[in-house]
Amino acid sequence: MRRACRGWLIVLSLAVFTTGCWDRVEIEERGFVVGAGIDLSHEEEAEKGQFTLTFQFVIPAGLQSKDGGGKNGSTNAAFFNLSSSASTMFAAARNMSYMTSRSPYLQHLRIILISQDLAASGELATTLDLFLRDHEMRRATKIMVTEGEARNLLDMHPKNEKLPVMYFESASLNPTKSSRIYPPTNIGDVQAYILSKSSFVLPKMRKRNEEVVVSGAALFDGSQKLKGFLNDDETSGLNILRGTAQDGVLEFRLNGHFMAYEIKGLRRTIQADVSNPERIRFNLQLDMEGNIGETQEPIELLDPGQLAEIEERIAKQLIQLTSRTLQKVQQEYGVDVLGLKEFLARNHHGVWESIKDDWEQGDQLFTRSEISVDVRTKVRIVGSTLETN
Amino acid sequence: MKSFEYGDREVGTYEVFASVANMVIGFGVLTLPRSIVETTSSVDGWISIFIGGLGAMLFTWIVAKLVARFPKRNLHDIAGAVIGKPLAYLFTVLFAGYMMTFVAYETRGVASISRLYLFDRTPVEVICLVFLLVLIYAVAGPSVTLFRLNTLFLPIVILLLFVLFLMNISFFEFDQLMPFFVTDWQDLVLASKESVFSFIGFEILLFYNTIINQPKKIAKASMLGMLIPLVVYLLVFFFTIGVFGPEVTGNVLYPTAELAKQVEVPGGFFERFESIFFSVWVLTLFNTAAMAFDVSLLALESVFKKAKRTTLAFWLAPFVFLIVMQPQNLIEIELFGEWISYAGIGLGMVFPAILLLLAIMRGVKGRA
Repeated sequence: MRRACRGWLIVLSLAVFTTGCWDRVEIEERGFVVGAGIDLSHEEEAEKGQFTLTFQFVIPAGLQSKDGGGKNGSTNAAFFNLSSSASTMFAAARNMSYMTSRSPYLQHLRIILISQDLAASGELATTLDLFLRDHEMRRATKIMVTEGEARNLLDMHPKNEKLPVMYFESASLNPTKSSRIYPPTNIGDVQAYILSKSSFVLPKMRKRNEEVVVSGAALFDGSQKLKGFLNDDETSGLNILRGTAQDGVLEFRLNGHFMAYEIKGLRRTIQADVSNPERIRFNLQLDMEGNIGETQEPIELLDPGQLAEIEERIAKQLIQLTSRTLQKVQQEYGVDVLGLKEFLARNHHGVWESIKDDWEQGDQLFTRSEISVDVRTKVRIVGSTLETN
Repeated sequence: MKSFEYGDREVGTYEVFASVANMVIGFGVLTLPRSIVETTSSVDGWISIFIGGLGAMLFTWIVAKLVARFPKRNLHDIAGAVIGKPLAYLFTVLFAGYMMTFVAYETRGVASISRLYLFDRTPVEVICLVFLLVLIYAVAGPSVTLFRLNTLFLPIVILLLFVLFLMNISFFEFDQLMPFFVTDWQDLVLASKESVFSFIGFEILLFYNTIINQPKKIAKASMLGMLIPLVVYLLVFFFTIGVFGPEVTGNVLYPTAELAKQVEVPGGFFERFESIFFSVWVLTLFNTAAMAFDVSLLALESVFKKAKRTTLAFWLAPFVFLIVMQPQNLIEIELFGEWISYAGIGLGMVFPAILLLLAIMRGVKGRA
C-alpha cells in the first residue's frame, strides 16, 4: 500500500513539474518582423503620438510559392506591413498586437529604416532606444536613412526578392562592388556614436520610379541630427578618404577617351602635426591598387611610361573626388566623419583631451584644421588582352 | 595504491584545479567588463583585472599553505588549534552564513538573467525555487560528486567561451583598443577592487581540505585553477572592448551576454547562440552555487556534529530562499553582491592570512 502511494506521488509530481513551459509561444502564433520603418506622424495620426512605426511581417506561406509576391502583389505576397502611431516605440509596437492575429516577434529584425524628416528632427537616439533596450533585439540590426517616408519604401515589390527587406539588405551589402555605397552600419555602432557624441554616417536609400536605389550617405552631427546628404560621388570620395573603399570603379579620361579603373585595395595612413592644437595639420596618405577594367583609348599598356601616366591620371581623379567630399564635410557641414577624431584620441591622447570640446562644437577646430591628401596608385593587372581598338 | 580510481571518496589535483576554476567563474563574468570600464578609460582596465587576479592568487597561495599545514582538517579544526574553540565556532558559523548568502546571490543571478533573456513571463520566485531544489539534490550526496561534476563541466565551459570569442572575431576592431596606458594609477587600483570581487571563491579549499588526498600539491593546483578565470576575464574584457568599444561596454548591462547575442552565423540555428551560451553558463553557476551550499553544510556539520546532512540541507533551503527574495531590483542585487564580496574578502582572504601567520608564529601544525 505504501509503495503504491509513493508511486502515485512520483507520477503526480512528474505530471505537475515536467509539463509544459511557462513562456511557450507556438511558432505559428508569432508574427516574424523582418524590417521596421520609423516616420514622423502625419497630421491625422499626430494626435496618437509623434512617431509612426511600421513593421514588415513575413507571411511564411508566401515565401514558398513559386512566382512570389512580386508581380501583382495581392495574391501570394510574402509580406504585409502594419503601421501604428504613438509617442513611444514600445507603445507603437504593442498597438500592433491589436491589428494582427500574430503578435510581433522581433528576434529576426534585419533592418531599421529612418525617414529623412525624422532624422532631421534630431530624434534618432530617442527612437532607437527600444531597439537597444529590448532583449529581443540584436545589436547587428542595420540602420539606413530613407529619402521620403520609410513606410513607402517598405511597400515596394522588388523584382528579384520576395521581401523588400531582404532586397535592401543584400543591396546594402554591395559595397564590395561599388564604392558609392556606404558600408552598412548597425545599431550597436550607432549606440557607440551616440554615447561618444561623435558625428557619423548612415547609408541612404531612395525610391526611383518603381525601384529602390541604395546610394549616397546621410551625415549626422554629434547631437544625432541630420546635417545633410552626400551624393554618389561624394560618398565614393568619403569611402576613399576613410579607407573603406576596398572595391569600386573609377572613371577617368585619358586623351579624350574614357577608361575604367577597378579599385582592388586601399590603405589609408594618417599623420598629424599637433604642434599647434589650434590648427592641426593632417596628412592622409592613400595607397590604392587596382586593375584596368576597360579602356576606350588605344594605348600600349605594357609600356611603363604609359602606365605611369595612367596612374598619375587616377591619382588626379582621386584627389578631385576626395577634395569635393572634404570641402563638404569639413567646411559646409563641419562633421568629422573621416575618423580624424578617433585618430587623435588614439595617437595624440594628451592633445585630444585638451581640445575635444572644441573639435566640432565651440571653436570648431575641425573646420579650421588643415587636411592634405596624398595619393599613390598602382595598376596591377591590365586584363587579358592588350589592344581591342 | 588505490584499488580503483575514483572508488575512494577523495579528490586529486586535477579535481581541485577544475573546482577552483569553476567556483571562481560565476555571476561576475557577465558584468565585470562594465564595472571595470566605469572607473578606467580605454582598454587600460586589463591592468586592474591583472592586479586583482594576482592579488587573489596571492591569497589562494596563503589559503593553500594554511590547509597544507593541517592535512585533512577543515577550517573549524584549524581555527580551533590556532585561536581556540570559541572563536573557531564563531568563525565557522559566520563562514557558513557567508556561503549561504553566496548561494542566494548566485541563485538570484541565474533567475534574473533567465528572466531577462529567456523566460519573459515565468516569475523569478519559480525559477529560484526550481534552481534551489536542484541544488538540494546536488548537495544531498557526498562532496566528491561535485568535484567530479566540475571536471566534467570545466572543459565544456572553456570550449564554449572560445567558440564565443571565435564567432566575434569578425566584429573585433583592434582600433577600439587604443590608446594604451592613459588611466590614472589611482583609478586602476580602484577598479582592481571590482576585479578582486570576481575572483572570490577559492576559499572553498578551507573546507574541502578534508577530502583532498595530496596536501602538498594543493598550492600549485589551486593557483593553476585561479589562472583559468584570470585568462578568461582578460579575454572577455579585451573582446568586449574590441567589439563594443569602451563607451558601449560601460552602458550595456551584461556586456558578456551581449557578446553572445551579437553572434551572427548564416544558417539560422547558431544565430540564437545566446541560448547555448546561457545554458552552459547556468552550468557554471550551478556548480558555483552547489559548492557554496555544500561548503556551508560542511561548516554547519562541523559545528553541529550530530545533524544529518540532508536534514540540514532541507532546513537551510527555506532560509536561502528568503534571502534570495530580499533584493527587490537590480540595484539591490548589485549591492547585495558587493556586501557578499566584502564578506568574502574578510572571511576568505584576511582571516586565513591571519590564521596562517599565527600558526607559523606559534608553531602549530596538524598531523595527517
